[in-house]
Order: sequence, then structure tokens, then C-alpha cells
Amino acid sequence: MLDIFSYLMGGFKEILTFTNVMWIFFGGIFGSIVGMLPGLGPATGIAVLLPLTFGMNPVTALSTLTAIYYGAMFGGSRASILINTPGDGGAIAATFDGYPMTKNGKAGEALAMSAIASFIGGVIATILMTFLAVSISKVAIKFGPPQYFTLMIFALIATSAISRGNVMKGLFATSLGLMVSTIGADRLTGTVRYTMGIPELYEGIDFLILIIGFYAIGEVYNNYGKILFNHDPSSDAKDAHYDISRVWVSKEEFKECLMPILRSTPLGFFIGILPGAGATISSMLAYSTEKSMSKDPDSFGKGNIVGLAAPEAANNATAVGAMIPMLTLGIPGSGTTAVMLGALMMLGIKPGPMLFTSQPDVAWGVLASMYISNLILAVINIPLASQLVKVLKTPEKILLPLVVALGFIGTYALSFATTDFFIITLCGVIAFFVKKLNIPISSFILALILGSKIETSFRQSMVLSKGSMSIFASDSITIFFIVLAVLSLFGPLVLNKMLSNNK
Amino acid sequence: MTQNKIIGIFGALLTAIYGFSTIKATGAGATFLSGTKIFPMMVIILTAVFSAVIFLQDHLGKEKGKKIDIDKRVVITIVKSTAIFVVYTLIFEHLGYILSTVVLLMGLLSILNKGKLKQNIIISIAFSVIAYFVFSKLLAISLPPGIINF
Repeated sequence: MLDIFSYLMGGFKEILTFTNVMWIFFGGIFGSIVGMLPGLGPATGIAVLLPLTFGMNPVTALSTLTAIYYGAMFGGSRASILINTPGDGGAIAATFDGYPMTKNGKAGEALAMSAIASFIGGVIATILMTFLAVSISKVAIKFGPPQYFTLMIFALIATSAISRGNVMKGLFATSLGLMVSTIGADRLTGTVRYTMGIPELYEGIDFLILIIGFYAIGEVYNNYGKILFNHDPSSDAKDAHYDISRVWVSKEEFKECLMPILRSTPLGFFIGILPGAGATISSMLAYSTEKSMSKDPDSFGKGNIVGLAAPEAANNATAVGAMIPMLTLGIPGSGTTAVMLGALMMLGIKPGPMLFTSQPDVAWGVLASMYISNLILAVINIPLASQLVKVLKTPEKILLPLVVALGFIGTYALSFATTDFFIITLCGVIAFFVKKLNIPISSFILALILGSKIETSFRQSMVLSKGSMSIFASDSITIFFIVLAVLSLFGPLVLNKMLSNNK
Repeated sequence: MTQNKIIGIFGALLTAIYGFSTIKATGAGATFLSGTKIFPMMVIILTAVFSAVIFLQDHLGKEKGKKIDIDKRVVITIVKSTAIFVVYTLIFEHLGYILSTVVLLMGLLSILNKGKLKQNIIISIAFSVIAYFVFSKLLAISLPPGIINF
């Protein structure tokens, strides 16, 4: 306990420099702005703002990325509350009562409560993470190739199973990601595979470039239909009327929301740790839980402040929880953390159980930065709310070309080769059709990033066991992950069947 | 054609190409199970199975699968944008970051923000110049100066 406290203090010492705090502040602002743009969530935010971190030291870079991530989570709900247009999936629940509050002339209260709930949720979740991260690292340090293999298989299956739409399409996207991950030199033997004789592919495909293509260019293409041909004037912030002269809540409103926030935070946090189960699920679950517990459930959906506070707290707690598997196991559980993992690897940071022992300054510095990020974001989103929401008045048709331009800078900064511009353009086109076919991109990206690790751990396991598959069932940890994988795949099916039989 | 059929056919084609390359490739490794071919083979089987199941979902399910819904006007806009990106790629290192990005933004804005030439020019120039200074000078990311050399 004392160790954790002293390490955390060391982390604060590391992070509390003028440069770090300045970058966390700007990261928070940039993240909030990107998060506010409909269709552009935290993954896109990190992908397009990645070049900002080039040239930074690892702690500053990781803290900036974390601030962008949290900023996007904070920002996502601004658009939900004011113009009924969620920035991303996690902000959908904020439209249920947030927008009715705006219509009832309580936009200021809604923005303030959203920021307060996000702040409390984020800080409590970070406290939980501070204690859990070290324990998980200690367990994970004992993991060998079979344990890692089954864990990664569980992460992939869970992400596909929970992906919106068809589970089969999620699994299909996963297999495509695994396929692409095999391009390049084999990590164990050096054998070159599937490069079609192109020397640039010998090192494999740089997934950060694919990520920029899929998330930045792809999302811009996917927004064309909406902004050019199916524009809904009711979602036009330019014409929206809201009063945000006073962004604060009354003592009574705070008291009313405190318990729902405290209930929703651990819910969001633990959902965040699970692979695949992101902020959309946690915020919806927090909303429905509070509605079912409320003495006045009919007021939900009509501007009940509790209906806004609960999902907002859960939403932010999920973002913190999602960092645990990424930092302690090196296994991302969502599209956003997959993008972050890619960024970290580019910066020379190797997330995983050894991070807390081999690079404690980075690990604890980042943990400390999460507290600072939450505080700074609360400051940005309450006193500066009226300035920040001006972004919503800038039409998407002006903002989207700027996102494209940032995507190109990011790509160039990664390789200094314009040939990669062709790759991101192609990925953008593919992302457009993939979305039209209802195939989840996050499953593809996750498999692409984990693919070579999965292959390596599988083959190392085979060497260890002299070719016996029983190695994956010889240990309680591997059995645990296999059971979780099977449950996450078939659990929802069985549950649905049981529910339909009961009807 | 339905979404499921398109995915099924695409998956089958990809499986065939990837499978052929795997069979043709030279393998390495102590044993087959720890060699270079085992993982790709597992991926081939998975892709083939998932593609087949998705293809058959139209026939096995109670409802027919959804048709792919693509607005031709959006596709034309994407083609135009893609052409602008290709031009950008070709001029980027010759004209330099600022000028080529002005061209990129002017092109995109003329498609998305039609009829507002003055606004588009101001945005394109302002963004390109600011981005150049932020990334090149403040963040020390080397961007091609081109013919405008600051």
C-alpha cells in the first residue's frame, strides 16, 4: 500500500512539469474538439492527433494521448447534449436526458453535470486502477506463451461477439485482420511471407498507417452522405438555441446525482476492463439501471438529470478501465486502446506486465497523468464550456477536410514516404465499403495488432509442448480464458434463446 | 446482391488467393505445428468457415439479408476526393507542404463547401501555414518546404 503511494507520488513528480501539464491541457482541448464532431470518436482523435506526440519523451507522449482520449470522451457528450448528435457510441446515452434538458432551457446545468459526473467517474476509476494495475501486472508476469495465446483469443472473440451487428461479421473481420498481420518477415524464423515481392512490405504493414486510413479518411468518407445529401437541419448547431450563460448545478441537483454517479462508476470501470465491452454498453447499462431504480422512471427521457449523470460517469470510468489490459498485459480491448497501443509501440514503449518494473517512471507517470487529465478536463469543460462549444457551430463540411489534412501529416511523419498516402487513401475507400457491409472495423484493427503476437505465442507454446495442443488446457489460467472466450461467444446466444422461450 | 453474399464471395476469393500463396510458400520451423505455415493455415480455415456461414445466412435465416445501400452521389464524391488525394501525393514533395496542402484543402472544400470561395481560400491558407509552423517548427517534424522555403 505504501509502495503504491510512493510510486504514485513519484509519478506525480514526473508528470507535474510545465511541458507535461501544457500538453495534457492541449491534448484535452484537441480531444474534446474531435470528440464533439459527430462520427469522429476517440480512436479517430488519437489517430489524427498522433503526430503531435512525435519528438516527445514517452511520458509526455503517453499523457498527451491519454488526455486526447479522455478529452474525446468528455467532448462526445457536448454534441449529444446541445444538438442531439452524439460524437461517438459512448455518448448516445447522453442524448436521452441531456438533449431534453437543453430543450427545457437547462443546457448549462446539463453541460456542468456531464463534466462533474465524468470527472468523479474518471477520478474514482483511476483510484481503482492505481490499486488494480499493479496486482494484475504481478499476476501477468507469470504468464507464458500459452496464457498469452488464450488471453488474446478471448480478447478477439469477445470484441467480435459484442460488436454491433452480426457476430459472424465480427469474426470474419477478425480473421481478415489476422491474415493481414502475417504479411512480412516471420518473427521467429525470418521467412518473408505474402509480400508479393514488394520490399516495403518485408517489415510488415505499419498498422498506424492503416489506422489513420481506416479511422480518419474512412470516417470522413462515411460522413459524406450525411453532410452533402442527407443533411438534417435539426442537427445543425448553427441554428440551435441554447442558453449556457451559467454552466453549473445546484446543491440539490448534485446531491440527487451523487449516488447514481457512485453506482455507475464501478460498473463502467469493470466493463471497461473487459475486452470488447466499451463505453456504449456501460453507459446504456448505467442509464437503464438508474431508470429501473428510480422512483420516477417516467421522467427519464424527459430531462431527468440523473439520466445524464449516470451514463456520463460510467462512460468515463470505462475509458479508464480500458487502459488496464492495454498497460498491464499489452492487450488492447477496444479500437481506441488498440490505436493507443500502436502509438506506444511506435514511441518505443512496450506495454505489458514488465512496464511497471522496467519503466516505472512511464507507468506511474501515466497513472498520475490520468488524475491530472481528469482535473484539467473538468476545468476545460465547465468554465470554458461556452468557448469550447463554439466548435459545434463550425460546419462539418469545413472541419472534415481539416481532419483529412491532419491524417496526411500523421502519415508523412510516420514514414516520410508519400507512397503511404496511397495506402491511407485506399484504406479510406475500403473503410467506406466495409461500413456499408456492416463489418466492424475495430475487430479487424484489434486482430491486425495482436496477430503477430498470437502467432508467436501459439508457435512458442507448440515448441514448449512438443506439438501437443493439451498445453492450452493444462493450466487454470488458460482454462479460465478459454471458458471466458466460449462464454462470450455463446453466452449471448443462449441468453437470447432463453429469453425468447420465456416469452 | 445482399451484404452477406458480397462478404461470402469476397471471403472465398481471399481465402483462395491467401491459401494458394501459403501452399506455394516455403515453410520453416522445427515441426509443422511450430513452423511458418501453421498459423496462416488456421487463418485460412477460419476465414473460409466464416465466409461460408455469412453467405449461407441469407438461406438459413428467416429473413433475407440486407442489400448494400450505397448512394451513387456519395461514390462520385469519394472518387473526386480520391483524385484530389492522388494529386496531393504527387505534388507534395515537389511543391512542399504549404502549397500542396492549400491545393488539397481547396479541392476538398470546393466539393464540400460549395460556393464559398473566399471562405475556402482563407481556411486553406490559414490551416496550411499554421499546421506547417506547428509541426515543422514547434514539433520539429520535417515537412517538405518545397518552393516556399521559410
